Amino acid sequence: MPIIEEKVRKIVLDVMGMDINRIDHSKSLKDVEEWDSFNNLMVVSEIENAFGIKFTANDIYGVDTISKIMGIVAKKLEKSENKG
Amino acid sequence: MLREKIGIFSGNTKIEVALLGSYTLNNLMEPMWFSLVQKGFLPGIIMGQYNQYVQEILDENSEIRKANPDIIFILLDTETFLEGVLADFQNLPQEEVIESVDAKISYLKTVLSAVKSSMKSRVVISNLSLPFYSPLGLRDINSDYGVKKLVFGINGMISSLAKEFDNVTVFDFDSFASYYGKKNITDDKYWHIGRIYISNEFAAQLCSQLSQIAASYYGKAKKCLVVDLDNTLWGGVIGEEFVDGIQLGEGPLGEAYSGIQRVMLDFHNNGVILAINSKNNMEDVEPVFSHRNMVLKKDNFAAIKCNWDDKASNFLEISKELNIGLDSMAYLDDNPIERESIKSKLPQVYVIDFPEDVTGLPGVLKTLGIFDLLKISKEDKKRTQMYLEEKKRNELKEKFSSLNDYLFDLGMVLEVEKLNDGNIDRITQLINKTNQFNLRTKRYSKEEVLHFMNSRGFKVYAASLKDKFGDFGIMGVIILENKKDCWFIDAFLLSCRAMSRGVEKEFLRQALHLYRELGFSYDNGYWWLDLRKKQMENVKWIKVVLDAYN
Repeated sequence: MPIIEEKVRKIVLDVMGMDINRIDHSKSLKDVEEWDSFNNLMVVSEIENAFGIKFTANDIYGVDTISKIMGIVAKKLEKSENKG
Repeated sequence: MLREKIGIFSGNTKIEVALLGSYTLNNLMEPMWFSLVQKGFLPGIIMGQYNQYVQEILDENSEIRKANPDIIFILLDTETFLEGVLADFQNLPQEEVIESVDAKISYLKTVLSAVKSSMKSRVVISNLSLPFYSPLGLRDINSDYGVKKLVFGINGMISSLAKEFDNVTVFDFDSFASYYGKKNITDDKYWHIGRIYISNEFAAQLCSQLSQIAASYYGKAKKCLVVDLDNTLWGGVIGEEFVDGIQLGEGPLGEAYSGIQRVMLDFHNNGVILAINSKNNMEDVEPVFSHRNMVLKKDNFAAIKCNWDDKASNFLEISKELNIGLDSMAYLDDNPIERESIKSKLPQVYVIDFPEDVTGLPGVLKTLGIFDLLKISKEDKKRTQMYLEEKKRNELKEKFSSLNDYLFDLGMVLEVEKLNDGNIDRITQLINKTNQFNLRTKRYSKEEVLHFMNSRGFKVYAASLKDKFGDFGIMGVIILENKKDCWFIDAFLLSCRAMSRGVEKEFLRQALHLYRELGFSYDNGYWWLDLRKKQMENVKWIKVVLDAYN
């Protein structure tokens, strides 16, 4: 889990220039000023590439906090490990 | 984030570009910046809003209008362009569809006219990707009227429209999409959520092709391809296996090598200069040129370095001999050590990635794009021939003890002609790329040169030169301006190949003579130059000619 967190932190920092450790992970991203819908997609796309996973459109709509992002990544990684 | 990683580029040309289009382009911004930097620019990029390109150009107060960028890219996608048509294709009467398409094309025309009349920008407009899906299914391509034929027709209309404007170029987006795969370049999820049409994975490839058009506009296309020989132009080592032992033209590998040569011949025919830089003995290499499957002949190469010297120093010699900068050169070599060595010693040279499997190399060269030009002049096409003629001249020169005898023996003929429709492209090209001998180094676009043609206050002359070895074509330009009580040399430039033969003086003399014949009195006038003292030193002879004329 800490590895996932660090990777995601780096991606968001890269895309938006924002450190997620400075915000509450359960805070709604709609209330985060730097967080716009386009960059949201870019973050998802980078996460997909970095972890080799795919978000569904529904996943993306469901993502409104940092902890939810982490949760989805962890769940998808677990699934792909079980398969492998 | 990329910016910090690449560092500073002092020699790069500043450029302002706008990315506009019918889909979300934000994810293209960074790759576009990176691509333009790689092609030798220092870019500023303005981004258009999703599907706002019409308003952004027509609205006089828009950011795009205010910025008046050097190049505007307009990128289109089929679905948005044909909104309302594709969704109901089977039920819509054909006339209605055609009407709607005509209306869209005339919108585009309004947009392009607005750019032409109120902005300085050049425009690169994409055509449409031919859709792989049609509601008609199998019947689509087998009927007289289907989606594919419709889009194919629209692409034809976009091409014809672009031809009406001399500042508009079409980018063949359909070709791009087909090459990388229409299924791949768009990720449906991102399309539906954010109207992102080009997925991040292919953004770099798209931007690389777009920025090549900018490179071509600005004379930044590569001009010379330098190649290694063994295992690059043929399979095997000529010094060990000799002509009969090498792989060329037959068998899978032999076919790949002749494929490489055929692409290189295409380059050559487009005016790219070919040169050889190989660790070999010339006497071993010579017989290969008579190999029955050898596509390239010795005369296709403007410079040949077959020796055991360091390849980087050979590069410098080729650059000197052909008088082209290292940043105009590309390098093809199968040996990774040589490639790395050139990369580190001569970072300006573009080193081509050599695939592990040589059968892939012709494909790599075909999609390289770095030599691509939008326009090719007669002079471009004959470049290599000119270098070979120059070699013969130098050989002749060595035989003569005095320069005058040599010049006389060359039998030079100089012809001066007025600017006209037939020479305007070459004249514009010379104005914009001549550096070494260029009084005042004024750059003019084709539109500005056209303005000279129709203006009484300006006269533009071009000089072409021939001698017994060949034809230089147009190699000099002079622009004279009538300034009430004096005549002004606005521009005077000569291609470096024609210099130091007395041609410059003769050209100036003839141009002045023609100018007088046009009825301009010059009794009360004087020719003057607004040059700084230092520059004057190098062009003192101009004053001597002018004084003699006055």
